[in-house]
Amino acid sequence: MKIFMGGLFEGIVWDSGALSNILMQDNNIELTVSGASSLIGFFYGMHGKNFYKYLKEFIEEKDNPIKPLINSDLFSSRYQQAITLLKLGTSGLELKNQTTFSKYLDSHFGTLTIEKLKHRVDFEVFDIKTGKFFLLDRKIRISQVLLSELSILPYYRYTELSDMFLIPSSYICLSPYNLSPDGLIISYEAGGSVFKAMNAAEILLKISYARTRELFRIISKDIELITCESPLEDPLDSVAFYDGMKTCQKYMEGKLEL
Amino acid sequence: MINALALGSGGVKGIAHIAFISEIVRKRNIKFDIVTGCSAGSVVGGVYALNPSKNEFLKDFEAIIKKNSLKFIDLSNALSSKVNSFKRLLYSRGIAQNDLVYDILKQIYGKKRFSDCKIKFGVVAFDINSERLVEITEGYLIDAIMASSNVPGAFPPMRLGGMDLVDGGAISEVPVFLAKKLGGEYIIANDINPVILKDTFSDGMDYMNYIDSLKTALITKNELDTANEVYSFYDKVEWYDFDKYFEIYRKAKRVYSRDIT
Repeated sequence: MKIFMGGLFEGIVWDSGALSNILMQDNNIELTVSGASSLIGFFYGMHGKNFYKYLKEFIEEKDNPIKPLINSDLFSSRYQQAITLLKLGTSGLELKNQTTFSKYLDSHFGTLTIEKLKHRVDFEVFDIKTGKFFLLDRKIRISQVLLSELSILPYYRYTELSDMFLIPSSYICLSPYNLSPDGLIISYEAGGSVFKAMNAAEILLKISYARTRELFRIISKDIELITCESPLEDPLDSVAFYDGMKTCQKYMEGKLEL
Repeated sequence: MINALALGSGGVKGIAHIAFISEIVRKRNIKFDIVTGCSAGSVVGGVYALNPSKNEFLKDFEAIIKKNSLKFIDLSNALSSKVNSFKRLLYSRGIAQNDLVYDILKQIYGKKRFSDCKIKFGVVAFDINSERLVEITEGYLIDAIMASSNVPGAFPPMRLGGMDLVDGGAISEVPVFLAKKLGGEYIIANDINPVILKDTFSDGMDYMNYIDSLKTALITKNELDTANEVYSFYDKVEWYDFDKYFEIYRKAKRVYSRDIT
């Protein structure tokens, strides 16, 4: 089974639940990931079907620099919006220090490369210099993979690698871009909630996300999708994991009936 | 064969559509039965649809631009001032009021309706509540074109038919699908806002805008791929640099004279 996963952090728990359900029934999967799902991909690659335990431990580490990406208050705090506008409009390309993040990932994953993972996973990225989507070479170190895949605006700038400027494909189109017609997409965010924009900054953020969703709609129109039946109050709560499992089970049963 | 013209968004670069129409009609002796537009494309498309036998209307737009030049300067200043922009981005739904656009469109369209057009005409806008592109083919031209040209962030969304509408180019810049829906069999598209790849950024806002323009370009490509002919025109000016209209026109004339065979 070919499985594609992307998205930002909102769906990471739910998507993990859905993938866990599939892995309970089918260990023979070909997984392509992008964005926050690259963490799911990495821990699956290392630990197989028990990946979520390790992913959760990693996310909950006290000094993990990905925490601001997960618990973003950009949509709810006007103060945060003001800081963001001021920082991005007057100086750098990012809100957080990418060098600190890079050092953290290096210390965590050392020289481990994609090809050393126990289970095969492909990581897709987007090069903003050429406008091309592609899979990362399997000799690339995991720390560089994750740095590229988590170069999510406005927190981190693009990652420079081999003369390319890389960001996750899923920032552009919610999932990996190069999908196959016989594949299956897992994406909580494809069915996630649409927020109400209160000011011009939120209107621009909303439109940016609408572009991502529209592109996803275009590339995924003939491909099967598992998404949430209704948006959850707290998609980062463990309830989301079981909701993902349950929804996936329903899908699998529906598919078996076909 | 039913010929349709799809005109894309691009602010002041919309002047290039005037050069495009003039050149393609002159070189091909073609007659269009349908025109669709997005943003600046809707402004030019509306004028063309009302009087398709006149294929050179730079002077009409020139008169409007000259008459409103002070207002355009005010708009340009409001949009290029970072201090003003940041404040208004946080505390209002748009940096500037869209009364200016309304006043200008009123001078062009008055109380004309879609039913006054000599050929079929349609425009696209984007509803920020439902996150859907909206196709408008009836009612007062000024309302539809105003909605289609309502640049998000710069102006507050326009309330129409229970929707909060902004520039259709926020999502997809050249309305080829609408041209097909209106019955177009041979569609010629003009894209005046193609993305140019780059690797240097003046600040974080420039970087974010660039990444978003890549998204829009991919969505627009999905529409352009279904057109029979696609032309494009590139000029590195801000959408609100209205004082550059004549340079844009002259450059566009040269480009289309070379590209249209």
